[in-house]
Amino acid sequence: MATEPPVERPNRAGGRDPLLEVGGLQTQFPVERGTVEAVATADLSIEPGEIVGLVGESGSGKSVLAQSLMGMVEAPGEVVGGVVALRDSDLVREFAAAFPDAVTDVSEEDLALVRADEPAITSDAEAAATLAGPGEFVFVESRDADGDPEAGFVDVRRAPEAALQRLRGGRISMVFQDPMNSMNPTLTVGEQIAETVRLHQDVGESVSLPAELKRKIVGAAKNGEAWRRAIEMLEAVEIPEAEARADDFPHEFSGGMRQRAMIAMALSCEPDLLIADEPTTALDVTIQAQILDELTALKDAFDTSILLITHDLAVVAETCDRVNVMYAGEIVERAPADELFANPQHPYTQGLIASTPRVSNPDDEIEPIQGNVPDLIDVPYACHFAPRCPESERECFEREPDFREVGESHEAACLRRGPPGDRL
Amino acid sequence: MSADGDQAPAAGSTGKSANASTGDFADAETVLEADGLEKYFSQSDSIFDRLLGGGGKVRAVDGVDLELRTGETLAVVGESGCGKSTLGQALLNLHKPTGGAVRYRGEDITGLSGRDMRPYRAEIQMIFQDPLASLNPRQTVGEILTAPMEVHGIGDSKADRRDRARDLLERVGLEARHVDRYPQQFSGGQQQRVGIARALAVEPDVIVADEPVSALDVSVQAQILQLLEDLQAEFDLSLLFITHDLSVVRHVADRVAVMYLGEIVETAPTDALFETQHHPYSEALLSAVPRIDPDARGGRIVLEGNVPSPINPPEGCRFHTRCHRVIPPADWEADQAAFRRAFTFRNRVESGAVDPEAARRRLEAEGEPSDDDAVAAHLLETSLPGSPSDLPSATREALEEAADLLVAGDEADAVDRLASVLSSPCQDETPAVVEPDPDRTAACHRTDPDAPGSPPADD
Repeated sequence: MATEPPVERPNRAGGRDPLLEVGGLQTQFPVERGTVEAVATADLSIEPGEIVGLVGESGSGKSVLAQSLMGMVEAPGEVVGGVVALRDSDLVREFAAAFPDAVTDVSEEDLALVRADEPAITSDAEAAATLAGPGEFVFVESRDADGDPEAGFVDVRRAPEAALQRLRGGRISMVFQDPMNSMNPTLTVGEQIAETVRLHQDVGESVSLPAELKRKIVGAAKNGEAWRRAIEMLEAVEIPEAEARADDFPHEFSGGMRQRAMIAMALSCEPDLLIADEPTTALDVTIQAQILDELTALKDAFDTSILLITHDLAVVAETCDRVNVMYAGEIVERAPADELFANPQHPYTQGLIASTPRVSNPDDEIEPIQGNVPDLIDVPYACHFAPRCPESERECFEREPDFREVGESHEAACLRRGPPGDRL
Repeated sequence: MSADGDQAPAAGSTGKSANASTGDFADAETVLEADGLEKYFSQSDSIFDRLLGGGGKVRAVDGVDLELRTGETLAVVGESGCGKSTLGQALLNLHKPTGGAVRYRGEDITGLSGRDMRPYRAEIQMIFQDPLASLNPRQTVGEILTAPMEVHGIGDSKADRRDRARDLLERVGLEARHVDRYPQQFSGGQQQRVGIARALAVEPDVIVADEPVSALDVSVQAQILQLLEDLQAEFDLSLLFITHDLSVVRHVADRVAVMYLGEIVETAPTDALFETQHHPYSEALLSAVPRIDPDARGGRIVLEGNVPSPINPPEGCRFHTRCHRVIPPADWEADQAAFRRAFTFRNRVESGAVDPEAARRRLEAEGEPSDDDAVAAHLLETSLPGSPSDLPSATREALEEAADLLVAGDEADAVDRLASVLSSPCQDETPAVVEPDPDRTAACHRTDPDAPGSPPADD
């Protein structure tokens, strides 16, 4: 970035610009009785090469958040606000060339003005997004001497379908909980990976309909670049005898191997960001251990950032660099993983950890959180955890909790935390 | 049963029955017992299959000995497909066992007909994993709870049974006024409470709980675990807890039985098992559990490959194809790790996973030499973990010959060639169940002093 940001950014740990910056994201589903705010407001950042955890119980909105990042929230659901900024200079150059009408230049002065007007906005991306005209989603923050974009970001939320198709599978890819339901049962595993490669990487193999039909009927050429790449990927995720297994159909794979194949497919185009939504939940614990080790190793090998979404605190504790805790559509706490589990601050996080049975301290009593996750239709109180919170007071129901600094790069959105003066 | 009442545990603060700390269920009377229990599912669908003997048999539960003692919580733990749920259902006669016996307080109840089984149904009840799927959506909670009472003659009148139902709802932490609601009007955790109330409606002795908290969120899961523990104390229940989750086991169980591929490989009091494991599978399973506390993390043991098919389980010890402690033959010249690598290659060849044609196609596509020697070298390189150079020379030669045989299409000869140098007592002989410590059993050659092969010397 050209100039030093004038205000301190709480989101920004370390010196590197985040790869992904999500600000004020809001996703809603209209239903008969009102509006389900699946994601009420979410801020999230992921730096290059990081594994970031998003942990929450069912109904917390973590999967909808992930779908919002990919621009694939199913109708009637809709992302109604916020910005999903994917920062990468190559990406900005590529998209500025492909979608010249959608480019907007934002200067540091513009951003300063926005920030002065709206003090609630803390991130550059969020500030820049307020300046976007209709149809604009490629934000250029600085240009080099030739006038080519040098820094900036693409806002996935505002991107049209054509742009999203370039992003999905290429720049951002996703691994789902149930690999059987996310693979095509009529194509061999190798062919499915090869297809992804053909679509997103220039390997000189046609993806036109006749070419696809021919492959479907007579089988794909086994000496093509795409097929070779597919086998390499299967090998990278440690599927034994990859060249033989590539010819198998998904149902011939075991659950663990299917998930490996999914990961191979997701990484085949070396995406900048991999979103893994409960990737090990359907798997046995010994297989889960293999897959998690695999993900960590692949992150380094492919230089990919990972957003790991799960309900399992122990998985997050073992795998992630930083963790975001989500409850009922809101992120309530974020911290480096070690810090979060050594020193949980938000009452929900504390309750969640206390209710998780552990192998290591059997004598600690497990203490359930009373009550249930609320219905997300027009939640009438400010802090969504207040009705179940052992520490809540009247004001918790009335005033929106803001994020407070509670430790080293550690924030919690709770009125009863933070510096003594601010504390309720 | 007169004296057993005294063993009724008070609510334990640690989450287990009170006697757990002393580990003294060893002397308690056995309530429910499996003796060599077998449940095979036939895969032959049609009459022709049956006549021709086609289709294999899935050996879901294969010779299980297990006893549930009065007032204890016994956890059966294993991975998916190990047969733990089938075991639970066979104990309740929901699946008719194909061999062995089930005894309830000494009485043989194996394969009883529905009518003969009825009195025992009042004593042995079940809780299922998916609460909604196991509750009739067209009945109110009141109807769901009073139906079993009616069948078993509990309560004097309709009104009395309804009162009992209201009372039960309060016992499981719901409200009495919910008696006229339908199951789908409750949340998942509340539905599981209804499932528990239904099991309790007939005042059973034994509850078999099959993954009762696996479908629930952690905060709700903790509520249900606490409820089960309170109820166990209140009603003096013996609980068979079937689960895949070792963290839950650690908190609720007094004893644990570890199951693999239809067999119980180890039983032990919970604390003892988490301290030391006598079976390598238990060891691997425990090491794979993710842990919140960084200090509690140890080396993870990564198991080779996938669980073999229960249709055709491996000979000898069923775990030997994946075991990290597989025993080398007595005349093995290198270390155990080297043996394990070579043995993995053998297992892959034997399972038919090594495909020379696919390897040749790949080499051709990459423009590499693809003559027979190159393909054989490629097979060794990709299917043998590590390098062949540090294996004993006789073994290395055998591996190379086997790879050549595979390329020549002689798969059977390749298998034989490998078997001639890579044999393990784990494959040749089925391990006997031994009692390495009091109240513990394990079925592993390494814990059996009389077993063949070299004893553990590698670590």
